[in-house]
Amino acid sequence: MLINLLTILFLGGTPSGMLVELSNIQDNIEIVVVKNERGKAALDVISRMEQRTKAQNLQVDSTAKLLDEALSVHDFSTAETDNLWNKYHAIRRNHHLYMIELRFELKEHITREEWQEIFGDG
Amino acid sequence: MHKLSLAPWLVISFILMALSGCAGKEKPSPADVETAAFEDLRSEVHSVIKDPNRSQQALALIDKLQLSFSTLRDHLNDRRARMKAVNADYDVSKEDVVSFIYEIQEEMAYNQQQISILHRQLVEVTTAKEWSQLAKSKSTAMVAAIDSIRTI
Repeated sequence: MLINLLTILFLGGTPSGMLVELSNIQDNIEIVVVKNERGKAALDVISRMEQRTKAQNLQVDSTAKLLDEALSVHDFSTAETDNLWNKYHAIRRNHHLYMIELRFELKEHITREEWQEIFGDG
Repeated sequence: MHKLSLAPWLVISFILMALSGCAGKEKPSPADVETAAFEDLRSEVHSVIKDPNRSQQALALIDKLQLSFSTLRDHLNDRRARMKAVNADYDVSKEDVVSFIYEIQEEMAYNQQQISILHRQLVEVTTAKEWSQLAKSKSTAMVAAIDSIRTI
């Protein structure tokens, strides 16, 4: 349990993307946005977000497993743990930047009022 | 004699208290789970590291890990709320969102450096055998505490 604890602390929690609850957002879009080409385009963006997030999560899981193994070794290598951290950091950064691009692409298909209904507090 | 006659009553009372406690028990808060998890870890350190001096040093480091865990939970909650607010802002610029993400990444990098130092210090106060034992130990409370952080 010590290793799992160190790993989660080392990684600073788990990945939360720009839009963390994609399934909820998809549901909201289906309710709020008219079912036309614009609504279809918005859902297509969400679908790409989901695919990208799934791919990122697999990469993160794999890095976390490698980190678990590296941290469990008493004679551990700082270079190895630093390397895994840098890899993780790059995965997160690239994911965030891609998600930001998609967030602004999504905005092109959604009006101000719809956006408020989808992402606002209600 | 007196003790013997009271013992069954005490046992039944404890069982009733435990059952009534379970029946009306609400889900423990993340902070309660966290406290139980780190108590488990301290017990494990006590049991694995027999040398009192090194055991004390390890326990002091566990205190720091607990503080880091609690701080991380607060940061994640805060980050999630800020992320939600930024995203809800229809007029926010791409530059502002990118800058916000970089700010989070800087926080994460700083956190990673602090945890790396604690990890190294923990390794230094343990033998290879002790480290292996601590690595293998299991705690339901710790699993719950980590899961609770993962859901933020």
